[in-house]
Amino acid sequence: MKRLILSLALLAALAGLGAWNTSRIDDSCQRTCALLRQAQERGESDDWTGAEELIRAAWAEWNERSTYLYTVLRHDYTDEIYTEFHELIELIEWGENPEYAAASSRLIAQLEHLSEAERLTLENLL
Amino acid sequence: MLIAFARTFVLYLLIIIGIRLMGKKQVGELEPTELVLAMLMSDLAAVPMQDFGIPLLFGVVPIVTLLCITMVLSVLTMRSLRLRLLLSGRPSIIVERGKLLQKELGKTRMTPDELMEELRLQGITDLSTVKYAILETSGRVSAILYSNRQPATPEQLGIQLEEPGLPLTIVDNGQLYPDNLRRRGLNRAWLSEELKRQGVQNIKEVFLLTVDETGGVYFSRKDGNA
Repeated sequence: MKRLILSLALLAALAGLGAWNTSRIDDSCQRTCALLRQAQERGESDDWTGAEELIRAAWAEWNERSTYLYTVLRHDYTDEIYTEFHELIELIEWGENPEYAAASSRLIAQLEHLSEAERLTLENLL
Repeated sequence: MLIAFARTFVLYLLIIIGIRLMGKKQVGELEPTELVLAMLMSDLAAVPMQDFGIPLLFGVVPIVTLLCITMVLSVLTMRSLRLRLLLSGRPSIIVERGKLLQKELGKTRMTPDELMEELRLQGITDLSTVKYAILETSGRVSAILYSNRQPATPEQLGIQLEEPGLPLTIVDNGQLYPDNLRRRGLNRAWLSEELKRQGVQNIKEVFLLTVDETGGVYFSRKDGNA
C-alpha cells in the first residue's frame, strides 16, 4: 500500500511540476513579449532610446531565468532566442530600423511559439 | 516537460496494449509490463545521454514516470485478478492428455515446431508422454509428464539419501565471509585447521571454500595467475 501511495504521489507531483513548469515558461514568454511589443511601439513613434531600454529590459527578464530555462527547454530553442536577442540589440544600437522591426517580430513569434509548444494541447500531444 | 510526461504516459500504455496484442510468444521471459519498461528505459536513457541539446530532465522525467506507473500497476495487479489477467494474460493449456489443442495453440500463435522445440529443450521428444503442456504468461512452456513417464525419485525407489542442504561460501577469492562462518557454527580456528589440512598457508591463496549443512567442504585453490 505504501509503494502504491508513494508512486501515485510521485506521479501527481510530476504532473503538477509539469503544469507549473508550463505556466512558468508561459509567464516568462508573455512578459518578454510584452516588453518587446512596447519597444516596437516606441520604435514606431521614433523613440529609439526608449525602445532600446525596453529591449534590454526584455533581455534582462529572459536572462534572469536562463538557468531554469536551459534545464527545462531544448537547448537549441534557448540558444536561438539568445542569438536573436543579441542580434536585436546590435540592430537597434546601429540604427538599422527596418531590419530591427523584422527581427523583433521574429523574436516575438518565436517566444509565442515556445510558449504554445509547452502547453498540453491535442496538437502538441499528437 | 508536461508534454514529455503526457507523451510518456500515453506511449507506455500504448506499448503495453501493443505487447499484449502481440501475444505471449514474442514476450519471451519477461512479463509484458517488464518488457515495456526494459525497452523504453534503455532508449529514454540513451537519448539525453548522447544529445546534449536535450535537457537531462527530458530523460529523467519519463523514466521516473515509467517506474511509477510500473509500480502502481504491479501493486494493482496483485490486488485485482481482472487487471492481472488484462496486463499479464493467463496461462494457456496447449497439450492436454497427450493431445495437441490446436485451437489454443493457434490463439497463442505458437507453431507445432516451436512447441516441439520447447519440449525438446526439456528433454521431451514424445508428445504422447505429456499430460499437460502449459504456455505460461512469461512465454515459457511448462510440461507435466504422465506419472508413469516421470523419472523415479529416491523416495519412490526406497533409497535414503543424506540431505546436504545449501552450501554457504566461506571464502571467495581470498575474501572471508565471517557471517557465513558463524551461520555454519564454525570459527576462525576451524578455518585455520581446514586451510592447513588443504595445504594452504594463507586465506589469500583460496579461490573458493564452501561448507554445506552436513559439514561437507568444497575447496578450490587459487591458480597462480588468478
